[in-house]
Amino acid sequence: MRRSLQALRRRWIAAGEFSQLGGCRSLQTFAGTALLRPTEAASHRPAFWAGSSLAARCYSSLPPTTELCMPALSPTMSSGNLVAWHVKEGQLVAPGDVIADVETDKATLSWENQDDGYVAKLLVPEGAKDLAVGSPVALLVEEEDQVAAFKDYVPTAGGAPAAVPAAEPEAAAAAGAGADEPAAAAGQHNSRMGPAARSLLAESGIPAGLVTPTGPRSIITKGDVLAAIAAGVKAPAAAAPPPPPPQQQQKQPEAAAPSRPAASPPAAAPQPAAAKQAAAAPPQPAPAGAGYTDIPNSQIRKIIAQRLLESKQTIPHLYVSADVDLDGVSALRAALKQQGVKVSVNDCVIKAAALALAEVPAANALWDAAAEAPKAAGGVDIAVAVATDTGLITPIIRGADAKPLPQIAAEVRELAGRARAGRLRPEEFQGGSFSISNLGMFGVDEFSAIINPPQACIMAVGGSRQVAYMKEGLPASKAQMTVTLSADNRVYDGEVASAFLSAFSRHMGNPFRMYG
Amino acid sequence: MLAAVSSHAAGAARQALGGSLTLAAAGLQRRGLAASAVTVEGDTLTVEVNPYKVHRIEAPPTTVTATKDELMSYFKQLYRLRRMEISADMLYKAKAIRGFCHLYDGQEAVIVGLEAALEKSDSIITSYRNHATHVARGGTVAEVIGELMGRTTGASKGKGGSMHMYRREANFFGGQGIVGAQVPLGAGLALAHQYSDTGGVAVAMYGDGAANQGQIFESFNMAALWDLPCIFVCENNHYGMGTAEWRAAKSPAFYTRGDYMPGMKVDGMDVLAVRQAFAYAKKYAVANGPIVLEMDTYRYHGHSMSDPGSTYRTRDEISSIRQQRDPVEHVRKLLLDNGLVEASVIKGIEKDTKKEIDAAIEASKAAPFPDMKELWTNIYAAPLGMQLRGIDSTHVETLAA
Repeated sequence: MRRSLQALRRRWIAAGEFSQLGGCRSLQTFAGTALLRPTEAASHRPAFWAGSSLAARCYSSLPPTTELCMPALSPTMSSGNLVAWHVKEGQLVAPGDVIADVETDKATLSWENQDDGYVAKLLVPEGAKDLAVGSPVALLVEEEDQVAAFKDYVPTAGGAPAAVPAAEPEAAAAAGAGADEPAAAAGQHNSRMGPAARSLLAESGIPAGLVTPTGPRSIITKGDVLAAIAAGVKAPAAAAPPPPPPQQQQKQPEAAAPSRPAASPPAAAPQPAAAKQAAAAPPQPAPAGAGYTDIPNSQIRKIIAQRLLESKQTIPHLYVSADVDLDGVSALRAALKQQGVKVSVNDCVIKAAALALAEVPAANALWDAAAEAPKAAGGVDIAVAVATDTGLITPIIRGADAKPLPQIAAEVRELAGRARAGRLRPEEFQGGSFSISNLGMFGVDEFSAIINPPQACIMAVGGSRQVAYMKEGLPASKAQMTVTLSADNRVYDGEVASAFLSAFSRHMGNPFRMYG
Repeated sequence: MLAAVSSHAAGAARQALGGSLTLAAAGLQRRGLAASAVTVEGDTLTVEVNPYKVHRIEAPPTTVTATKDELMSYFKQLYRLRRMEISADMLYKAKAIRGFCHLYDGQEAVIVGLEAALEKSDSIITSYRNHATHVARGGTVAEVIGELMGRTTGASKGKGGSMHMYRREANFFGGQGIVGAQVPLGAGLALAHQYSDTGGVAVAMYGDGAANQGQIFESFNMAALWDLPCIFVCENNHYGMGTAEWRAAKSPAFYTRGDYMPGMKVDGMDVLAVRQAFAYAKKYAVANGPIVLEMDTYRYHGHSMSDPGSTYRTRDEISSIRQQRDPVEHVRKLLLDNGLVEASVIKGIEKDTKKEIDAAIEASKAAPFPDMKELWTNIYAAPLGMQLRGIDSTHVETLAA
């Protein structure tokens, strides 16, 4: 449809006015014309469009629309997710109104409209992912009564038959042409071959049947083998694993891409490995009995995965654990609760860690990759891990050693709430000198976490448990939890880690000094 | 101490800022366009504009007359500039325009009123927010869009970009990238007018963000000393990049900042008020010397396309200005409400303008990028035996002839 619109538009501009083609009005795009993919250079096959008969085709009885396409809301954005629509079909929009929330590669931003009109159709649903910049997402019309015409309008993917077959025969022809030659050559070469060609074939391991012979009487020449090697023709042994999908491909008749199954082994040529070919066929119905569901990875999770791998591979982790008594903290919490202040164990952990970092400055350091040395962090900024639907995010409590405990509690609550809603500002989760991850509420006794570079340490806090001990000759029980430091061994050595942990334990055991 | 369970420090600051924002917004809203006192006689409209605030000068009369043809031409130009800036926004979001892009929508009345009062023989120099100035000085929309897209059909052959449009034959001296650098140049243009006795004026435009820069006051001083025919125009859109005027300037009354120079504050969203002010200022400048005009205007977009424009002001403020003071709407209402034209004529103009912009965009997309050899043109290439002095005059280097 995109190409047909371009063709239509060229005609109109040449004519100098809107022309009514055969009594039906064609789709007009205003600055929607400007929103086509910027990669299309002006010289990109103009003859194809100008001379095609696509221009004669028109959508019957659809009023002229303005196409709204996915905007590039940051200079580095190439695709985005449409998180939520702020308008409904039929709604009047004015310049300056927010139409939608768009998730870019960096943050979720509001998209403001610049045109007057009524929303005729929302072409993509809320939550649509990976929409390329420039792809149409909505249609605006000028008059309210024109909205009804779009009630059953099917957007481009389904309703552009002329463009898709035009593209498809080209693609199919190209693939077919590529497929035909090897298929024709299969088994049709002369067994006579020069010694150079023979040795090259043996060296490369390409079966003679896959090489196109160009010599007289279908003799394979050395040039043919070199061309086959250059084209990346692989021996079918590489196509064997995994056998079931490609074979099923050939058995099942394909409606969508008729040339692809036939070309499946030779079409391994344009692709480095046949395994990729198999992997490229996921739209296939899965073989019976292999029930699974693919859950797409969100942008945040992809980045988290990348960073975790990088951290684990490049940072030498040092693990140091300690058991910390929790009775003092429980007493403090009870006392505060009586005064109406709600403070959780995690808040006390944050404060105790902050005080310990202030006491042991060597522990409040970052690893400076450029200088290859530890450098002191500016202040005690504690990043608290919060699990959200989209992934793990760490809002930061800045200057935690100076903040009073109730303030830390309030901040953590507020930041966690906003983190779950996806409304954190970048400066609120970027940075930090120390991280704390608490899985105690999930019944975990002890675990070790992965450091978030460029920080040098993360503390993993487990759950509390009752432990028996001897107190003045009599058995008693106390609450304890295990904390495990994962520290960057280039910044922390054992001495620093244990100094930090002992300061931490001391503060946790002496909570009334923490408060205030 | 327990009351420390209070608002987050940032939250408190935001509250304070919000309060000030509403105050500022209220100040902006108070000056809604006066649409009450309008009389029509045949094809001529007489309207009362908002009163001028003056400093060391008498205010011009607030009763302005305009004919239907004048208003139609203003409307066409205002609408054209508005649609051009909107399409620049959409092209930028489609990545057809890259780099800097500072949009003028909301401020169109300033340049249209200026052109209505002044001649092409008067010089004008402005900041990087210059797309509309280029068109108002006789350029075409296709030139502007071509330049924004970096094509050879652009105003500066695709080599200048958004900030460097220039039209020498219309005495438009750009398009300047450095904030406030154009004001001393503007004073120099006024000196040229005085020296050559042209009888014209030079207009040096700058924004409220630039208004606190030192070289502007140096220009004021020299212009006033020599009685240069210079009109200094502060386009006060109330925000620097994101800093509100009351946070940037101790005295945000920019029309008084000329101190010994007379000044006038004008409703910059009303093209007729602006025209009246410029006509008055030109008469004054040619006869007496420099004058400062402050245009009370507003930009709907952020400072540039990298700025969403909503982090330092509320959306409500923007939409209230759109509803109450929009320059294009004002002229449209003057034309329609007073029966000067039919609504269909207005619609026709709008359609034609959209087509014109469409055609400009298409032409620009089809135009080529500059050839590589253009890297070596329009640059100073021949040293001509120039001599460079070192730290002291004993060390002199002579460049090749």
